[in-house]
Amino acid sequence: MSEFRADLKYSESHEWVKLEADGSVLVGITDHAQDALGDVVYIELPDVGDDMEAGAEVAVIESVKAASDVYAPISGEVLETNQALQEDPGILNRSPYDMGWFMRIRPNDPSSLEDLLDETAYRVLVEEG
Amino acid sequence: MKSSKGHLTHIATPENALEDERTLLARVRSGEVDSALSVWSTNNALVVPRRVLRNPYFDHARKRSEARGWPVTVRDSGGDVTPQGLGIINVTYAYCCRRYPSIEESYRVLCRPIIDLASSFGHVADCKAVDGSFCDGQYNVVTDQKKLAGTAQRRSRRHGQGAPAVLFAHALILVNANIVASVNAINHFNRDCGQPTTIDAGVHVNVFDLAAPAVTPLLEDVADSLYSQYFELLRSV
Repeated sequence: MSEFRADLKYSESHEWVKLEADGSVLVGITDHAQDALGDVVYIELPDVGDDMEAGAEVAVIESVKAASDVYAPISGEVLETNQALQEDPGILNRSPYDMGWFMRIRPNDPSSLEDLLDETAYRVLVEEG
Repeated sequence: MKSSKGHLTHIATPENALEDERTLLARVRSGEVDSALSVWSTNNALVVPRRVLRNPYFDHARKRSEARGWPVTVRDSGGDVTPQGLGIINVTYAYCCRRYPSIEESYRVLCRPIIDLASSFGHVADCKAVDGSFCDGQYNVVTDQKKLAGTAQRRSRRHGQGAPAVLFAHALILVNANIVASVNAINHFNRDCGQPTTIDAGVHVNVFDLAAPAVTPLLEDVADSLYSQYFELLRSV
């Protein structure tokens, strides 16, 4: 059973976004997405300072089953990436919403978060398959 | 240099063969086409996923492999080290869809024509792991407990939020490969990378080994048969 969190926003391509107190946002992939991929063995993250355009490919995950692209849910600048994921990709399977974040972004337009799905809408998307 | 016999395209340089795969995926992702299919082979090479680039001995291992006649090139799908060479047929396709099928369903679709191919020679095949095989995984095509084909997939999308999904799939089929030489090349490379994994040539089988000598098909006939089946498959997705 996948976990969904009310304090997150979601993209249709299964990324989550969390607004932080300083106005930056954390980005990761959802519990549903990591579960579908299975054991993750490699993650390629963007470089700090990269400008990301919403919908553009920003990271790659390799699992024992498949490789999958990760997309920027909003536009912005990459402020930080989670180096622990590169050392131990399995963090993503164990803690997709806490330890398994991919990158911290400074959004170009903070109001763009409103365009993303809330928990209810994302749950419907997943349950519709 | 490329040459074709029927639907089988031989791309002499492994690097170019992998670049053609990237182009195939890019054409579907860009919206130029909704699906694309290629049945191809290339010369001797080892193909590795990106994670292998992180191995501290990779450059050393790559140079030594190349010196042995097995250049190393990088692919964008996951898995582990795989061989290429004459006698190995690759099927690569990509298609656009509203939503992805499950990973398991995608592999079932990818494996079906290869299972049917084994069946056409009187051998029952299915999908499972084979201890000691190269790039082992749950979705090898296996007959008589031996690996006949390996598979991989990459999940991508067209550009933009809410854009359609694009599924890229690849199967590597041992048709008339030099399995012993291929496995030796992988084992040398793994050792040079400091990896203890040893691959066992004896747990692999060629399509040609499934056929009675009198009815062994030509490599191009196998390629044409696979092309037809995957072409029909892509029409139905």
